[in-house]
Amino acid sequence: MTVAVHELPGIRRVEQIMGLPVVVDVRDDDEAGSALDQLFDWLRWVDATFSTFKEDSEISRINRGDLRREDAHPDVRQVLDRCDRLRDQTDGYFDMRAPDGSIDPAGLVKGWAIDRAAAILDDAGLHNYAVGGGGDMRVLGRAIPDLAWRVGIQHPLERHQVAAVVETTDLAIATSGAYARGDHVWNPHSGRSPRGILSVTMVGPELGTADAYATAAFAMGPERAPHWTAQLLGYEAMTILADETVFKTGGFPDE
Amino acid sequence: MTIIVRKTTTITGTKKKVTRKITAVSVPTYPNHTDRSIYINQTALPILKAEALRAQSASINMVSGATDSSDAFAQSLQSAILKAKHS
Repeated sequence: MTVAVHELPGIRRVEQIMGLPVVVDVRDDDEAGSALDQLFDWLRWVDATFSTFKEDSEISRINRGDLRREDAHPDVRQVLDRCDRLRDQTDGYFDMRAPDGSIDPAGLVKGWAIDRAAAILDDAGLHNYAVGGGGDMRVLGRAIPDLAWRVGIQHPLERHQVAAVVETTDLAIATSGAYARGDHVWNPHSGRSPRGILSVTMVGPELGTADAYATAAFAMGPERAPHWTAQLLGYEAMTILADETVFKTGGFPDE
Repeated sequence: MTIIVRKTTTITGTKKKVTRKITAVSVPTYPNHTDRSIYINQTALPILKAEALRAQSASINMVSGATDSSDAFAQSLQSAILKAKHS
Protein backbone atom coordinates (compact mmCIF):
# COMPACT_ATOMS: atom_id res chain seq x y z
CA MET A 1 0.00 0.00 0.00
CA THR A 2 1.36 3.37 -0.96
CA VAL A 3 -0.39 6.55 0.00
CA ALA A 4 -0.09 9.54 -2.26
CA VAL A 5 0.86 12.64 -0.33
CA HIS A 6 0.49 15.97 -2.08
CA GLU A 7 0.09 19.54 -1.05
CA LEU A 8 -3.64 19.16 -1.00
CA PRO A 9 -6.12 21.91 -1.73
CA GLY A 10 -9.23 22.34 0.41
CA ILE A 11 -10.08 21.19 3.91
CA ARG A 12 -10.45 17.89 5.75
CA ARG A 13 -12.39 17.21 8.93
CA VAL A 14 -13.15 14.04 10.91
CA GLU A 15 -15.73 13.83 13.70
CA GLN A 16 -17.15 10.96 15.68
CA ILE A 17 -20.92 10.87 15.03
CA MET A 18 -23.44 8.01 15.12
CA GLY A 19 -20.68 5.91 16.70
CA LEU A 20 -18.60 6.27 13.55
CA PRO A 21 -15.79 8.43 12.31
CA VAL A 22 -17.30 10.71 9.65
CA VAL A 23 -14.70 11.96 7.18
CA VAL A 24 -15.24 15.01 4.98
CA ASP A 25 -12.50 15.76 2.49
CA VAL A 26 -13.16 18.84 0.32
CA ARG A 27 -10.67 19.54 -2.45
CA ASP A 28 -12.15 22.80 -3.79
CA ASP A 29 -10.14 25.91 -3.08
CA ASP A 30 -13.31 27.76 -2.02
CA GLU A 31 -13.90 28.55 1.63
CA ALA A 32 -15.84 25.49 2.87
CA GLY A 33 -15.73 25.91 6.65
CA SER A 34 -19.34 27.04 7.12
CA ALA A 35 -20.63 24.27 4.81
CA LEU A 36 -18.75 21.75 6.94
CA ASP A 37 -20.25 23.24 10.14
CA GLN A 38 -23.71 22.88 8.59
CA LEU A 39 -22.92 19.32 7.48
CA PHE A 40 -21.82 18.17 10.94
CA ASP A 41 -24.78 19.94 12.58
CA TRP A 42 -27.04 17.97 10.23
CA LEU A 43 -25.40 14.66 11.15
CA ARG A 44 -25.66 15.43 14.87
CA TRP A 45 -29.37 16.15 14.41
CA VAL A 46 -29.78 12.82 12.57
CA ASP A 47 -28.02 11.01 15.41
CA ALA A 48 -30.21 12.69 18.05
CA THR A 49 -33.37 11.91 16.07
CA PHE A 50 -32.73 8.36 14.85
CA SER A 51 -30.38 6.68 17.34
CA THR A 52 -31.83 3.75 19.27
CA PHE A 53 -29.05 4.35 21.81
CA LYS A 54 -30.61 7.70 22.78
CA GLU A 55 -33.71 7.41 24.94
CA ASP A 56 -35.25 10.65 23.70
CA SER A 57 -34.73 10.02 19.96
CA GLU A 58 -37.89 9.80 17.88
CA ILE A 59 -37.11 6.15 17.03
CA SER A 60 -36.79 5.26 20.73
CA ARG A 61 -40.05 7.08 21.45
CA ILE A 62 -41.81 5.21 18.63
CA ASN A 63 -40.46 1.91 20.00
CA ARG A 64 -41.74 2.76 23.51
CA GLY A 65 -45.15 3.70 22.11
CA ASP A 66 -44.69 7.36 23.16
CA LEU A 67 -44.80 8.65 19.56
CA ARG A 68 -47.01 7.50 16.70
CA ARG A 69 -45.18 6.95 13.42
CA GLU A 70 -47.58 9.28 11.60
CA ASP A 71 -46.79 12.06 14.11
CA ALA A 72 -43.02 11.74 13.69
CA HIS A 73 -40.80 14.32 11.95
CA PRO A 74 -41.25 14.27 8.14
CA ASP A 75 -37.67 13.03 7.70
CA VAL A 76 -38.36 10.15 10.10
CA ARG A 77 -41.52 9.22 8.22
CA GLN A 78 -39.63 9.41 4.91
CA VAL A 79 -36.85 7.11 6.17
CA LEU A 80 -39.25 4.57 7.68
CA ASP A 81 -41.34 4.48 4.51
CA ARG A 82 -38.21 3.93 2.45
CA CYS A 83 -37.14 1.11 4.78
CA ASP A 84 -40.50 -0.53 4.10
CA ARG A 85 -40.00 -0.21 0.34
CA LEU A 86 -36.44 -1.55 0.58
CA ARG A 87 -37.76 -4.55 2.47
CA ASP A 88 -40.04 -5.31 -0.48
CA GLN A 89 -37.28 -4.66 -3.05
CA THR A 90 -34.89 -7.06 -1.26
CA ASP A 91 -37.33 -9.93 -0.66
CA GLY A 92 -37.25 -9.09 3.04
CA TYR A 93 -33.48 -9.33 3.41
CA PHE A 94 -33.24 -5.65 4.36
CA ASP A 95 -35.48 -5.39 7.41
CA MET A 96 -35.47 -2.62 10.03
CA ARG A 97 -37.65 -4.69 12.36
CA ALA A 98 -36.04 -6.76 15.12
CA PRO A 99 -37.65 -10.07 16.15
CA ASP A 100 -39.20 -8.31 19.19
CA GLY A 101 -41.12 -5.95 16.90
CA SER A 102 -39.02 -2.86 17.56
CA ILE A 103 -37.62 -0.91 14.63
CA ASP A 104 -34.10 0.34 13.93
CA PRO A 105 -33.64 2.07 10.57
CA ALA A 106 -29.85 2.43 11.13
CA GLY A 107 -29.16 0.31 8.03
CA LEU A 108 -30.55 3.11 5.88
CA VAL A 109 -30.00 6.18 8.07
CA LYS A 110 -26.24 6.45 7.70
CA GLY A 111 -26.27 6.34 3.90
CA TRP A 112 -29.35 8.55 3.65
CA ALA A 113 -27.76 11.10 6.00
CA ILE A 114 -24.54 11.13 3.96
CA ASP A 115 -26.55 11.63 0.76
CA ARG A 116 -28.09 14.72 2.40
CA ALA A 117 -24.64 15.78 3.63
CA ALA A 118 -23.41 15.63 0.03
CA ALA A 119 -26.37 17.82 -0.97
CA ILE A 120 -25.26 20.40 1.63
CA LEU A 121 -21.83 20.50 -0.04
CA ASP A 122 -23.50 20.75 -3.48
CA ASP A 123 -25.62 23.67 -2.29
CA ALA A 124 -22.46 25.39 -1.03
CA GLY A 125 -21.12 25.28 -4.59
CA LEU A 126 -18.46 22.65 -3.87
CA HIS A 127 -17.66 20.28 -6.73
CA ASN A 128 -14.76 18.13 -5.50
CA TYR A 129 -15.30 16.22 -2.28
CA ALA A 130 -15.59 12.91 -0.52
CA VAL A 131 -17.88 12.44 2.48
CA GLY A 132 -18.03 9.11 4.24
CA GLY A 133 -18.69 7.30 7.48
CA GLY A 134 -17.58 3.85 8.55
CA GLY A 135 -16.31 2.83 5.12
CA ASP A 136 -19.29 4.05 3.05
CA MET A 137 -19.07 7.26 1.05
CA ARG A 138 -20.15 9.71 -1.62
CA VAL A 139 -17.47 11.17 -3.84
CA LEU A 140 -17.73 13.91 -6.44
CA GLY A 141 -15.31 15.57 -8.80
CA ARG A 142 -11.57 15.17 -8.53
CA ALA A 143 -9.08 14.57 -5.74
CA ILE A 144 -6.60 16.85 -7.48
CA PRO A 145 -7.28 18.69 -10.76
CA ASP A 146 -5.84 16.00 -13.04
CA LEU A 147 -6.86 12.96 -10.96
CA ALA A 148 -10.27 11.47 -10.23
CA TRP A 149 -11.03 10.05 -6.77
CA ARG A 150 -9.48 6.63 -6.29
CA VAL A 151 -11.38 4.53 -3.77
CA GLY A 152 -9.85 1.29 -2.52
CA ILE A 153 -12.17 -1.58 -1.65
CA GLN A 154 -10.71 -3.10 1.48
CA HIS A 155 -9.46 -6.68 1.16
CA PRO A 156 -11.58 -8.61 3.68
CA LEU A 157 -8.77 -10.97 4.67
CA GLU A 158 -5.73 -8.70 4.40
CA ARG A 159 -7.15 -5.55 5.85
CA HIS A 160 -4.26 -3.28 5.02
CA GLN A 161 -4.56 -4.16 1.34
CA VAL A 162 -7.27 -3.46 -1.18
CA ALA A 163 -9.08 -6.00 -3.32
CA ALA A 164 -10.07 -3.49 -6.02
CA VAL A 165 -9.76 0.19 -6.87
CA VAL A 166 -12.68 2.24 -8.18
CA GLU A 167 -11.74 5.46 -9.95
CA THR A 168 -14.68 7.84 -10.20
CA THR A 169 -15.85 11.43 -10.41
CA ASP A 170 -19.40 10.84 -9.09
CA LEU A 171 -20.44 7.79 -7.11
CA ALA A 172 -21.80 6.34 -3.88
CA ILE A 173 -19.84 3.35 -2.57
CA ALA A 174 -20.90 1.06 0.30
CA THR A 175 -19.41 -2.16 1.61
CA SER A 176 -21.13 -4.63 3.91
CA GLY A 177 -19.27 -7.45 5.62
CA ALA A 178 -18.77 -9.17 8.93
CA TYR A 179 -15.01 -8.87 9.20
CA ALA A 180 -14.83 -5.59 11.15
CA ARG A 181 -17.55 -5.87 13.79
CA GLY A 182 -18.31 -9.58 13.78
CA ASP A 183 -21.75 -10.94 13.00
CA HIS A 184 -24.00 -7.87 12.97
CA VAL A 185 -25.88 -8.71 9.77
CA TRP A 186 -28.22 -11.64 9.83
CA ASN A 187 -30.60 -13.31 7.47
CA PRO A 188 -34.04 -12.18 8.67
CA HIS A 189 -35.54 -15.37 7.24
CA SER A 190 -33.29 -17.77 9.17
CA GLY A 191 -32.19 -15.52 12.05
CA ARG A 192 -28.57 -16.52 11.38
CA SER A 193 -25.52 -14.72 10.08
CA PRO A 194 -24.62 -15.66 6.53
CA ARG A 195 -21.71 -18.05 6.06
CA GLY A 196 -19.39 -18.37 3.11
CA ILE A 197 -19.47 -14.67 2.18
CA LEU A 198 -16.92 -12.05 3.21
CA SER A 199 -18.20 -8.76 1.78
CA VAL A 200 -20.47 -7.08 -0.73
CA THR A 201 -19.52 -3.70 -2.21
CA MET A 202 -22.30 -1.78 -3.95
CA VAL A 203 -21.86 1.33 -6.09
CA GLY A 204 -24.45 3.63 -7.63
CA PRO A 205 -26.01 7.07 -7.48
CA GLU A 206 -27.34 7.07 -3.88
CA LEU A 207 -25.55 5.91 -0.76
CA GLY A 208 -28.72 5.09 1.21
CA THR A 209 -29.84 2.64 -1.46
CA ALA A 210 -26.33 1.30 -2.10
CA ASP A 211 -25.79 0.60 1.60
CA ALA A 212 -29.17 -1.08 2.05
CA TYR A 213 -28.63 -3.22 -1.07
CA ALA A 214 -25.15 -4.21 0.14
CA THR A 215 -26.54 -5.23 3.53
CA ALA A 216 -29.35 -7.22 1.91
CA ALA A 217 -27.03 -8.98 -0.55
CA PHE A 218 -24.62 -9.86 2.24
CA ALA A 219 -27.49 -11.33 4.28
CA MET A 220 -28.56 -13.39 1.24
CA GLY A 221 -25.28 -15.28 1.42
CA PRO A 222 -22.92 -16.76 -1.15
CA GLU A 223 -25.44 -18.61 -3.33
CA ARG A 224 -27.86 -15.81 -3.91
CA ALA A 225 -25.95 -12.53 -3.56
CA PRO A 226 -24.04 -12.56 -6.90
CA HIS A 227 -27.18 -13.30 -8.90
CA TRP A 228 -29.43 -10.87 -7.04
CA THR A 229 -26.93 -8.02 -7.45
CA ALA A 230 -26.57 -8.73 -11.17
CA GLN A 231 -30.18 -7.76 -11.89
CA LEU A 232 -30.28 -4.45 -10.00
CA LEU A 233 -30.89 -1.35 -12.08
CA GLY A 234 -28.41 1.49 -11.67
CA TYR A 235 -26.25 -0.30 -9.09
CA GLU A 236 -23.20 -2.50 -9.61
CA ALA A 237 -21.70 -4.89 -7.10
CA MET A 238 -18.62 -6.83 -6.14
CA THR A 239 -19.20 -9.87 -3.91
CA ILE A 240 -16.28 -11.63 -2.22
CA LEU A 241 -16.90 -15.20 -1.10
CA ALA A 242 -15.08 -17.10 1.63
CA ASP A 243 -13.45 -19.39 -0.97
CA GLU A 244 -11.84 -16.19 -2.35
CA THR A 245 -13.94 -16.06 -5.48
CA VAL A 246 -14.88 -12.51 -6.47
CA PHE A 247 -18.08 -11.91 -8.42
CA LYS A 248 -18.45 -8.57 -10.16
CA THR A 249 -21.55 -7.44 -11.99
CA GLY A 250 -20.96 -6.50 -15.61
CA GLY A 251 -20.65 -2.77 -15.03
CA PHE A 252 -18.62 -2.76 -11.81
CA PRO A 253 -16.32 0.22 -12.41
CA ASP A 254 -12.98 -0.98 -11.05
CA GLU A 255 -9.89 -0.55 -13.15
CA MET B 1 -29.67 -17.24 -13.44
CA THR B 2 -27.22 -20.08 -13.57
CA ILE B 3 -23.49 -19.62 -13.84
CA ILE B 4 -21.08 -22.37 -14.62
CA VAL B 5 -17.63 -21.69 -13.27
CA ARG B 6 -14.67 -23.74 -14.43
CA LYS B 7 -12.09 -24.23 -11.72
CA THR B 8 -8.49 -24.82 -12.79
CA THR B 9 -5.85 -25.87 -10.29
CA THR B 10 -2.24 -25.30 -11.28
CA ILE B 11 0.46 -26.84 -9.08
CA THR B 12 3.96 -25.41 -9.43
CA GLY B 13 6.36 -27.06 -6.98
CA THR B 14 4.62 -26.70 -3.62
CA LYS B 15 2.44 -23.78 -4.66
CA LYS B 16 -1.14 -24.39 -5.66
CA LYS B 17 -2.99 -21.78 -7.68
CA VAL B 18 -6.70 -22.00 -8.27
CA THR B 19 -8.26 -19.95 -11.05
CA ARG B 20 -11.94 -19.78 -11.78
CA LYS B 21 -13.47 -18.78 -15.06
CA ILE B 22 -17.10 -18.42 -16.05
CA THR B 23 -17.77 -20.71 -18.96
CA ALA B 24 -21.51 -20.32 -19.29
CA VAL B 25 -24.19 -17.97 -18.04
CA SER B 26 -27.87 -18.62 -18.49
CA VAL B 27 -30.22 -15.75 -17.84
CA PRO B 28 -33.75 -16.09 -16.48
CA THR B 29 -36.62 -15.10 -18.74
CA TYR B 30 -38.47 -12.04 -17.56
CA PRO B 31 -42.09 -11.41 -18.46
CA ASN B 32 -42.38 -9.21 -21.53
CA HIS B 33 -45.86 -7.93 -20.69
CA THR B 34 -45.10 -4.24 -20.82
CA ASP B 35 -42.79 -1.87 -22.62
CA ARG B 36 -41.18 -1.21 -19.26
CA SER B 37 -40.21 -4.83 -18.67
CA ILE B 38 -38.90 -5.19 -22.22
CA TYR B 39 -36.79 -2.10 -21.64
CA ILE B 40 -35.44 -3.60 -18.43
CA ASN B 41 -34.62 -6.86 -20.16
CA GLN B 42 -32.66 -5.08 -22.83
CA THR B 43 -30.71 -2.74 -20.59
CA ALA B 44 -30.13 -4.82 -17.51
CA LEU B 45 -29.10 -8.21 -18.77
CA PRO B 46 -27.45 -9.62 -15.69
CA ILE B 47 -23.79 -10.23 -16.33
CA LEU B 48 -21.40 -11.57 -13.74
CA LYS B 49 -17.67 -11.89 -13.94
CA ALA B 50 -15.84 -14.24 -11.60
CA GLU B 51 -12.20 -13.96 -10.65
CA ALA B 52 -9.90 -14.88 -7.81
CA LEU B 53 -9.43 -12.53 -4.88
CA ARG B 54 -6.15 -10.62 -5.10
CA ALA B 55 -4.50 -8.13 -2.79
CA GLN B 56 -3.49 -4.97 -4.60
CA SER B 57 -1.09 -2.26 -3.68
CA ALA B 58 -2.41 1.00 -5.04
CA SER B 59 -2.41 4.73 -4.55
CA ILE B 60 -5.85 5.63 -3.19
CA ASN B 61 -7.70 8.56 -1.60
CA MET B 62 -10.47 6.77 0.32
CA VAL B 63 -11.24 3.26 1.56
CA SER B 64 -14.56 1.46 1.43
CA GLY B 65 -14.83 -1.42 3.87
CA ALA B 66 -17.09 -3.10 6.39
CA THR B 67 -18.09 -0.68 9.13
CA ASP B 68 -15.30 0.12 11.53
CA SER B 69 -15.94 0.89 15.14
CA SER B 70 -14.02 3.88 16.42
CA ASP B 71 -11.48 1.57 18.10
CA ALA B 72 -10.80 -0.31 14.92
CA PHE B 73 -10.55 2.96 13.02
CA ALA B 74 -7.18 3.78 14.57
CA GLN B 75 -5.83 0.63 12.94
CA SER B 76 -7.59 1.09 9.66
CA LEU B 77 -6.42 2.05 6.23
CA GLN B 78 -8.45 5.23 6.17
CA SER B 79 -6.74 6.38 9.32
CA ALA B 80 -3.34 5.70 7.79
CA ILE B 81 -4.28 7.77 4.75
CA LEU B 82 -5.47 10.73 6.81
CA LYS B 83 -2.31 10.65 8.91
CA ALA B 84 -0.18 10.58 5.80
CA LYS B 85 -1.99 13.66 4.51
CA HIS B 86 -1.27 15.60 7.67
CA SER B 87 2.37 14.62 7.88
